[in-house]
Amino acid sequence: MKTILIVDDQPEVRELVSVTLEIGDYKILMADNGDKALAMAQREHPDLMLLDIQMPGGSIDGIRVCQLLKSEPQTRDIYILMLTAKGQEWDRQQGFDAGVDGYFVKPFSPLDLMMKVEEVLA
Amino acid sequence: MNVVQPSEDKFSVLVIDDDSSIRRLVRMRLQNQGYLILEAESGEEGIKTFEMFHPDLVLVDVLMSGIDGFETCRRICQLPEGATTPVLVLTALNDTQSIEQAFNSGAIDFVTKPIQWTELLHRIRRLLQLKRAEETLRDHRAHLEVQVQQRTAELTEANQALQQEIQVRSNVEAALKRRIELENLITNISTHFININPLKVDEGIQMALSTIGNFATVDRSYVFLFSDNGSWMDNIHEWCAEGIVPQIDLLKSIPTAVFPWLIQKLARLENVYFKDADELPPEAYVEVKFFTRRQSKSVVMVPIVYNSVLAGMLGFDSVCEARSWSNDIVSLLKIVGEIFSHALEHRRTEQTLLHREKQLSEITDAMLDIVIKTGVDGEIEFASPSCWTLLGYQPEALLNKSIYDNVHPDDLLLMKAAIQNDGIAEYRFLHVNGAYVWLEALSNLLFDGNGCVEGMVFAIRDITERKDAERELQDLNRLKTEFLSTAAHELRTPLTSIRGFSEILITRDFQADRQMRYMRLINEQATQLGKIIDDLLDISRLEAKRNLTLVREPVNLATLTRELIQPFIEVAPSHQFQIESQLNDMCVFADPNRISQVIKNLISNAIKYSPNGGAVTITLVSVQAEVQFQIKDHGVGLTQEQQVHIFEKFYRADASNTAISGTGLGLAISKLIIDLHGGRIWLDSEYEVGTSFYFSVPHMYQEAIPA
Repeated sequence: MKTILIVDDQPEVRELVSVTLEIGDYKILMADNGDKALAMAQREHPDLMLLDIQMPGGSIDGIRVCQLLKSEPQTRDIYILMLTAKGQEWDRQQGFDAGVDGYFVKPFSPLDLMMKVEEVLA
Repeated sequence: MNVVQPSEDKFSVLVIDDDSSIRRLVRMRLQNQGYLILEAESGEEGIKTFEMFHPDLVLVDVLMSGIDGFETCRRICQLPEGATTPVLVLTALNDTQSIEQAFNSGAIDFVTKPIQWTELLHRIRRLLQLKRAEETLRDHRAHLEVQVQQRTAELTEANQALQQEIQVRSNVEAALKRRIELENLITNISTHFININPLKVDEGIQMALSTIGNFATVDRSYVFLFSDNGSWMDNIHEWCAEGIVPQIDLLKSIPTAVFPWLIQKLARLENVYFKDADELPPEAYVEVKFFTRRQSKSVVMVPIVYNSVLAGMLGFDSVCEARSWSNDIVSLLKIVGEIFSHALEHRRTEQTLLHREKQLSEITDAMLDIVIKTGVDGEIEFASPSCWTLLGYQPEALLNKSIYDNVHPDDLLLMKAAIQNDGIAEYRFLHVNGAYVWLEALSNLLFDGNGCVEGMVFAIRDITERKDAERELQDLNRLKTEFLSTAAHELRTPLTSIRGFSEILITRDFQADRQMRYMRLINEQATQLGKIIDDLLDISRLEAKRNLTLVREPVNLATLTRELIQPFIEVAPSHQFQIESQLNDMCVFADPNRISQVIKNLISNAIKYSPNGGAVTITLVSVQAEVQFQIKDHGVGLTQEQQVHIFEKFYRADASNTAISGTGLGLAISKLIIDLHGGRIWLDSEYEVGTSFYFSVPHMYQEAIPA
């Protein structure tokens, strides 16, 4: 069973994503800020991370989390799909510079997200 | 009658005798002696012959038919030649009476018949010698006489010539002396006028008029000048000899059209002069009247010309007596007229120049912009006074400094490029206070007559304010973009739930409780979205202050707070609300709706951030000129970091706390409203202990005064 880590400071969004993915056969983990997400990823080594960028509750944002994970051999292969309201070209560029594997912009279609996740984890 | 032509060198002898044998005998004897012989057979014939041939000697017989020898002798002696011609009387009458008669009739001697030939010949020879000597003497005397006369005539002539020459010479000398005086006069006048101070031209003209008037012994000398368009003229200077009444004051602003003949003649650059006004043509009748009224018997006038255009005239009047004008006088006037013309023109040019210079300096003095002129290497030759106000330098302090010295090194290339293109450049210039000010300079190269660059001129303007405004605008634009980007992000967040849950509800089946939960979430997020949009509009209105008018009125903050707190008491049962207010006046001059917005926001925050309930205390005090509002909770408090950012837009102290909803704009809006009222907003907080928010608004009367 594949493991998916959902990282978002907004509880509604975490709920939306988990409801979206509940029809698949995944193990779902959640974190509400960057620090928790980093720790959880290192500990649980999920197959996929759905990662928000702006999370004021912690000391690091999603971009930083991605950089740190991609710089570690143990966590480098985790597929990181950004799920963020920062949808401008400049934001995307920052994401790809940090090593993200995919980029999804809020508001998103849950169906599209489901298909993307299926594709990534196939 | 035998006529023998007397030769020059032979004596001729006229023999008058009616006895032809005697005549022949005389002929023979005398011819042998070398004399030429003339013969006459009567006294009458003898006289005729004498008149014709003027013989040197006459031999006459006394006894003849017709007139006798005495009478013949007397008649011959009466002839012009007779007086000097010796006459010998030949007589047979050897008596005293006859001899006396002979001498009385003019004979010089007598010879008696019969003729003693030796005696006769001797006497003839002696007489002829005598005659010759006499003649020679007479001739000599006559010659001498002629010579004396000639010499006398010559001397007289020479004397006359000498007299004449002396006269001519003294005339020439007098003329020469006058000429030298004239030349000295002209030299003096022209020397005086060379480099004359333009302010002293009038004085100089006056002096020159007096000098030339005295020299020419006239009664009046004067200058008229025409107006620029030539339509009127002024008698600007006049000199009068003693006893002559000045007329200058009567002759101001005279229309030139009054004197058509005079003006036309002068305009053709001709001189006008007359001894008597009668000489003038009939069409000059106005001028004649004018001169008569002026009592000018004789007048000479010459045109004064600037740039080949008639500018005025210079003249002499003779009042006391009629006089004719010599060429020298006319020439003098012409030369002096030219000197005046040069001086007047010089003065006019100088005045124009001074006027222009004054204008220019007034302009540069009055300008806010700086004008700087430099040499070819940028050394400053002129700086207008505004460089004091703009750059802090006295204009003199910049002279001879290079303009490049004070330009910011990074801007030098740009500036030099602009100079080459006669263009505009913006660059930084070192103010005397050590800071750089932004200048905009229009530069132009200056060229000399040969087309070589001789300098540069800069028109410089301080654009520091504009640059600041530009930077401010850039900052503002950046802030706006940031704001929009942040706003979009904030709008996307609730939209994510709305879109996501609605799609899930559409595409999947859920049990009723889950359906309800998701629909409620959609509804909450949509409400939140609405709030965010309202707050965004509100904040944008508040930030663009000009679009927002506070509707102010006297507001009692204590009363207002009591009204506003009521709804919160009902929805927050775990909180204890308390309002402490001083008794004195809590009135402010404010927009009640806006102030209510602030108070509600602060109460709401106090409740939200003290989730465990507790006391919420509002204190109102009057401090100096303000009413101060304080709201104190016993909630989560704020970290130092949070306190720094708390009034920023979209800042939420703890967004992850699901229990606390908000747009992150409430405090930013509150701050803007209080700022607009001229008040202050601040806080005082301790993490996990509680927070106090404060605001203050000036008392009503403080605001009412300027209103």
